[in-house]
Amino acid sequence: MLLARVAQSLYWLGRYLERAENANRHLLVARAFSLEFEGLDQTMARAEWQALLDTMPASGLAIPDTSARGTAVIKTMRSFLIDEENPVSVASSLNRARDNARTVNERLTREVVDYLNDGYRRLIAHREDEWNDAGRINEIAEETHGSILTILGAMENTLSRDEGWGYLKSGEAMERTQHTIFVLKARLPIMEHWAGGMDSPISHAAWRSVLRSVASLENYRQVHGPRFEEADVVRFLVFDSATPRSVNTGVRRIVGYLRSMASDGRNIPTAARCMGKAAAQLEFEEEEAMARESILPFLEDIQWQLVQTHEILTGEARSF
Amino acid sequence: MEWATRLSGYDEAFDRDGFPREHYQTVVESLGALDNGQIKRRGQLQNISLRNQGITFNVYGADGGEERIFPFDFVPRVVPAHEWQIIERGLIQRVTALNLFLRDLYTEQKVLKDGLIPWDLILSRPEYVRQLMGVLPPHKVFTHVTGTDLVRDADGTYRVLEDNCRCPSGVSYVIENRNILQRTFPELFANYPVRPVRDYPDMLLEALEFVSPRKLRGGLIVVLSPGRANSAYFEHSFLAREMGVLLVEGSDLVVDGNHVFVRTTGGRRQVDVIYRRIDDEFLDPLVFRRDSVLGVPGLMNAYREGNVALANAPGAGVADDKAVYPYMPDVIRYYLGEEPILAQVSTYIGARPIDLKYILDNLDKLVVKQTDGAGGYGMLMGPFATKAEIEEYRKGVEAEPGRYIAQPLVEISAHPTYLEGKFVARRVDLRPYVVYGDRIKVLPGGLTRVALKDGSYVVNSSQGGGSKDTWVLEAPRPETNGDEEVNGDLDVNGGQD
Repeated sequence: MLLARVAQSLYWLGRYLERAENANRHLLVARAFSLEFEGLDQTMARAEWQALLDTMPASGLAIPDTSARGTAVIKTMRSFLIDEENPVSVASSLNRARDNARTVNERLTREVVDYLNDGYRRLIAHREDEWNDAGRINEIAEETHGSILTILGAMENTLSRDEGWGYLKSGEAMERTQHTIFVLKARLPIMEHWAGGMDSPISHAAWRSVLRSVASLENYRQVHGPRFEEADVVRFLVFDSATPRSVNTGVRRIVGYLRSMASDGRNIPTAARCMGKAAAQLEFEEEEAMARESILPFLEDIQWQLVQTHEILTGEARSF
Repeated sequence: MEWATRLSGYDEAFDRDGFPREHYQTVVESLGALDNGQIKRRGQLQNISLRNQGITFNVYGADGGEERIFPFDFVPRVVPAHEWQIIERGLIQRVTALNLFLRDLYTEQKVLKDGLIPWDLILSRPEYVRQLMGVLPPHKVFTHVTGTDLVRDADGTYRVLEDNCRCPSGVSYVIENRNILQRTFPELFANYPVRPVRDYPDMLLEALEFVSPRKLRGGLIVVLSPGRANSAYFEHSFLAREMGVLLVEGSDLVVDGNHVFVRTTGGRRQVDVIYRRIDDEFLDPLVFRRDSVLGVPGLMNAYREGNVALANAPGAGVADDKAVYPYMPDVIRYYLGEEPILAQVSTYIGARPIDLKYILDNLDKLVVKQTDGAGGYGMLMGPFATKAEIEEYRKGVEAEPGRYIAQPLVEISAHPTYLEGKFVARRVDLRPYVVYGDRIKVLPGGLTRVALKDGSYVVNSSQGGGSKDTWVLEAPRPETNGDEEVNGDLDVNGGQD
């Protein structure tokens, strides 16, 4: 039995934790790529930051000057990690996750509550001088990423697979799937723009960065080996049914969670129909979508259905 | 490490000659063997645990509803079995009498007709709910949970300072303090038969199931909280989680046809028992405060009809009113025909003219409290107040004497407490918890609150108080035949050599 209010908080808890993890990982990837290219090609280094900012436009930040002895990059990293005014920062997302967790404390285990609070407190406890040290900032980002994965592990291993779990995980899947779409929408125009003039090593590095920003590099290699072709990467991140961060996997997960949710007969079936349609498109329209000049309109369509489902799920509490 | 000087009055841990009392000897030795560095590290671990588990309380009036850790002092309070037996019997006696008193007040009112307590004193209490006259809660239990504050006077006698019959809070700290102490000072437990406190949520759940109007297995029980802005929200969510029941707010409940329902994602479900952590006046805007958004419209009708049990029962607060407190020894004698087992503190009632004169003449010597006050707010500590403060307070007493009571300053007992690298003596009280279901049970433990400020008598968390783990020791087992016991052990362990 689940209160409608609690369902909504669990959904948002799932979303915010996933958002924190995405921002943290993406930041580490952008930093690593930009370091690799700062001395070789400033444009590429800046493009990596641009992709990060385009993926999370709510940050409101400008592309850092990668040539300014790291100061601007430090500022950007700091904002993405600790600035609670930045709505997509790790600290901001973790704090919002804590806010939601506090209202549903009785549904969570001690481990989840403990690691969630610990992760946030450790992040905000760093001293001012640590935030001005480029090396230390990297360490902080890595430590924080570890904390977030620990929280997610505690959830995975201690929470009941009940209806509340469905809401929590559908929030996570919603955030993750949208993130993958945002990454592709931000990256593909850049990659297409440079496709002709890129050396193979640079091109490979750029595609590796795309895949790492959605934690899919190793999974991709298991399927395609060391080859990085745009069509392969796109097909993998959109249609692959085994990798956990593809659009296809995300949508199918949401369909599954929606099936586990009770409903008064109005909203959940509508959301299930919406996601069912998206799942069917991903299963049966792969070749057609890949044959088009661009995959982006197809992704726009899927994204629209995700947004509709999100609105139904978050409107659920109001509808009773 | 040095153990600090005693305060005036009784010292819980040391005798008059400065030697540890028998039941404190091992605690003093074990803690004395630690150096400041070790203690500091363990203290940091305690604070991290408290914060990470969200074991905090909100301070009303503080900036942005500030959330603070309830300071925890690791030196445990040890209550030997023989002392606890008296406390336990005294509390069972007192809670029995309190419930008989409440039943009488809302039905026959014999206690008033017989002149034991003045009519106007009861009828003028805001906690007395006239609308509930003739309405009895399921099984006639009014106080499913009672928190009775005890202090120890200069002679070491336990005295009841006040009863809390509405929504007594703090039991979550009792359990968490034990958890934290076991994590950070495990060696302290090695030589003590400390009675466990972790089964409190089960005790409470059993009591709540017992009063369920529908005798279905697993009748729906919820904890009703005002929400996360409430100072005790941590405890509400803690108890809901530990009991495995829903934590709801007023807006999650709806009354239809004099039945209470909770809105779930699967539709409405009928609620049988509400463990409410909302004061009476906010429970139902149709009966009490019209501006309340915390309660549930129509809830009292459902309660009157017997379709839902409320714990504690509405109207129970009149029994713990500070103006009723002085009558409690007589109340016990009246209903039970017994002498009170637990003493209490002599009290002057502002509503009684002769007492009022004494209060006004001795404001500088008395502790004066508002009858509806709590948390140490609105209190005058006469011996420590300035002349200006006393004169200001006098105006209030003169204007509304019925709102005040006064007591002599009790030299409440002191207990070693670790502060700033030293063990110092600080004053303490004790709040044990009594649960009333099919019978009355007392949790073997309680919340020991400690006044952390030097010389302070006020232990409330809102006034800078902290808390301690309270160890109630198991009574020594009676002597048995040694051979039989050895045989029993062999069976349990599957046959040792």
